[in-house]
Amino acid sequence: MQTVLTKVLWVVVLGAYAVSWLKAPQKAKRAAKAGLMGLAKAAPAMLSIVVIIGLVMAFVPPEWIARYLGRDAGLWATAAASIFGALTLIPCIVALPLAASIYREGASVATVAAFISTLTMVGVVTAPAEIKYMGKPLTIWRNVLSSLAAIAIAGVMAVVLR
Amino acid sequence: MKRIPKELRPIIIVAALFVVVMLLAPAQGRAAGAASLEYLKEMALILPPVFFLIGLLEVWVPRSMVEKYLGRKSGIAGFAISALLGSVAVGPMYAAFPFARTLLDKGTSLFNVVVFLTMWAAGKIPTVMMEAKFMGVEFALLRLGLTVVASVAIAWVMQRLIPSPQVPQQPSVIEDRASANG
Repeated sequence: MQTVLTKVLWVVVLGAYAVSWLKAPQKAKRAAKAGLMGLAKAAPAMLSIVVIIGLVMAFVPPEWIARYLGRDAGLWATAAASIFGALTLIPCIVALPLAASIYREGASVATVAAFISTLTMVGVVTAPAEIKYMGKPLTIWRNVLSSLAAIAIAGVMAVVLR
Repeated sequence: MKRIPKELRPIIIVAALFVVVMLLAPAQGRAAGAASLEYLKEMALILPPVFFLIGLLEVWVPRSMVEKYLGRKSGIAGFAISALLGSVAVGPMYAAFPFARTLLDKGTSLFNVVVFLTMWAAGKIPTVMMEAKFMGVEFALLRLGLTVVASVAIAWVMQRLIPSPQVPQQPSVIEDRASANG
């Protein structure tokens, strides 16, 4: 699924460049140059994210998380899931099956919802990259407010899906 | 001795950390290396098209147009476009920041940028479809709906807290072009 979408993205972008080239080759060149420069500037920060994800996955294997968070269905587990989700960065392809197994192991809806929401919306690992592009105030506020929103989402989902 | 460029510092720190792990816990180090390589492949496929798309956006889309459709006065339509832009996105959150920055530079309101980021993070359609498979349609759709509501709330508060956002100059591609010419 994800790889198909990536291919679609490549096709769309290459198609757009073909059109751009036909209409104004000079502009297409400038766009490509801007793209390359952006990529080069982003590379170090992006690469460090990849290494950190690798380290986290090695020291905190997903199976541990499932066992730990699935053990009880109380508020504690939900809080732990939120903190865990905020601190780590797990790609969706791993995170969603993981969420399902946490649920199967006995976690509550609130715990699973808090885990998915904080995992996606709050990113401590990606914060340096976010600061690089968006600045400190925007990054800090977005992450703080997203944490609160994630908890609220989990609360509502627990009530609705009970 | 030449100073290490600021850009390269994060990767040097992280690489050093990796070396330490390799020395102290080789088994974990190898596992980390393998996992990193896996994600590196994903990143290598997703980041180039994202940045080339940003390049096209910078060159072809005039500021006036972005301001009109996504700016401060774009209203509910601007919100809808931003939410949609975020939710049809492909790629992890870190790919969203340079994109969001370009949108902001081109005149998108902070409100709409935050909606875009929130939807990219938690409301991506491909991810929601996968979530429906694993957690059930009800769970996935309810979380998507609540994420839309949350994006509005977060964006509204942020707009209040940061009336005129100051963003760092460095990574903007526009600045690069200016300095390359001069």
